Amino acid sequence: MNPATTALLLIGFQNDQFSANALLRSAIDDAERTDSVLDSTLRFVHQVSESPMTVIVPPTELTQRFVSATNANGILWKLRESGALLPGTPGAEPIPELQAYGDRILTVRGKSGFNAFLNTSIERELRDRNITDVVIAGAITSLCVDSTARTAYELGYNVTMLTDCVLSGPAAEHDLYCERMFPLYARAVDSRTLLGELDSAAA
Amino acid sequence: MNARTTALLLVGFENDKYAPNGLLRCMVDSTERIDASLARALQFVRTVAAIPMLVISTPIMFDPVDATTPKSRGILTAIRDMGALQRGTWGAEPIAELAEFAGLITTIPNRQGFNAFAGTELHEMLTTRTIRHVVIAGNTTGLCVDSTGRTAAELGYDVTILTDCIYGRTFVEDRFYIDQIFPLYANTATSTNVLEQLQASLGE
Repeated sequence: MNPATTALLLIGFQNDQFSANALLRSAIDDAERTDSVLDSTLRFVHQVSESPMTVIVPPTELTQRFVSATNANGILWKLRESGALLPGTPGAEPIPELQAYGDRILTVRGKSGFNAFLNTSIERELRDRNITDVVIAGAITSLCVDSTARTAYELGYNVTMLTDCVLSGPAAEHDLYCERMFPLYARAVDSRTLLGELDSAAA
Repeated sequence: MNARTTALLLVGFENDKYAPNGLLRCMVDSTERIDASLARALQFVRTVAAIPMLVISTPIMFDPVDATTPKSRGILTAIRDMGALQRGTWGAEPIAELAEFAGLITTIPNRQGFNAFAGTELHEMLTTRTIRHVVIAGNTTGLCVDSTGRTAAELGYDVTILTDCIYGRTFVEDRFYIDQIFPLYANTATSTNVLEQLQASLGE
């Protein structure tokens, strides 16, 4: 993996998911897992920010379009009901720890569902930078993370999932994705291991 | 649910998936699950085709890749390397049992991966036919069914996954997706239940 042709996609690192009093924190049973994912991810971002790796934040902003009658039990509808991730609200903004990177991180808007590639310019941004590898961190494993990862794979990118930087609902869900599903279309590895490999390659 | 604005998507009904000597049957832990889901799916197709309701088949047909195409890893490459689902081969053809419905089923070609919407005319066809609701049968539960289902939801369709007309690699995987994942973006129901809903709407 060459950082110059690699893009890190940071999915869902918005205030409503990760801030201390986030609206969506209660959707995750274990507060420690949210904090642990956040810490691991911020550590990874800090390290790779010194490298040529492209870093992209595609914030999700829910719009009316996704409310549908029979999907009333769907997560998108529930999110909308809770008032989370509404366009133009502080809760929908990327967390301050990522905003602090300023222009080092590319913010790409338009994501209003699970898949970061749908209705955004991400694919063009990756092509313009000759990206071959995509690394993914974020929330939620079973929804935005997986939808985005599969699309990246189907578009021909080599995909790496950071197992300690993805936030799942139940722990069993995390294990199933990391052990059974991600390996079908990606490499699943923890952030420290990947950083070690990147450091060795740079040396 | 209204038969006129509902479409059944058949995901993965190729010989390599279902036929007794299909190359991909070995990827599933129980051939009973494959056969049972197929029997129910065919029964469902038979009933809805008679309504009639739009039935669309979305088989994978791998196109040849030339030597210069970068080879990504993962299961799609593994399946391709096995020689499965290649365009023009028996394995990529629709199963013989669907021949009964030739003329009633519309085939959308060109699917190359998990998601039946990616790179195909599926969304365009559903829009042209003013379809609001898609019902999904096929395989595999955790890959093509899930990818297609969630994309349908993101594109604004109501989605129902037929729990007794799908199969995945293992029973555990099937239950995980049916119980934990599909409900996040779709309805789940048995084929019997959906037929009841469709028939009720016909009476209106």
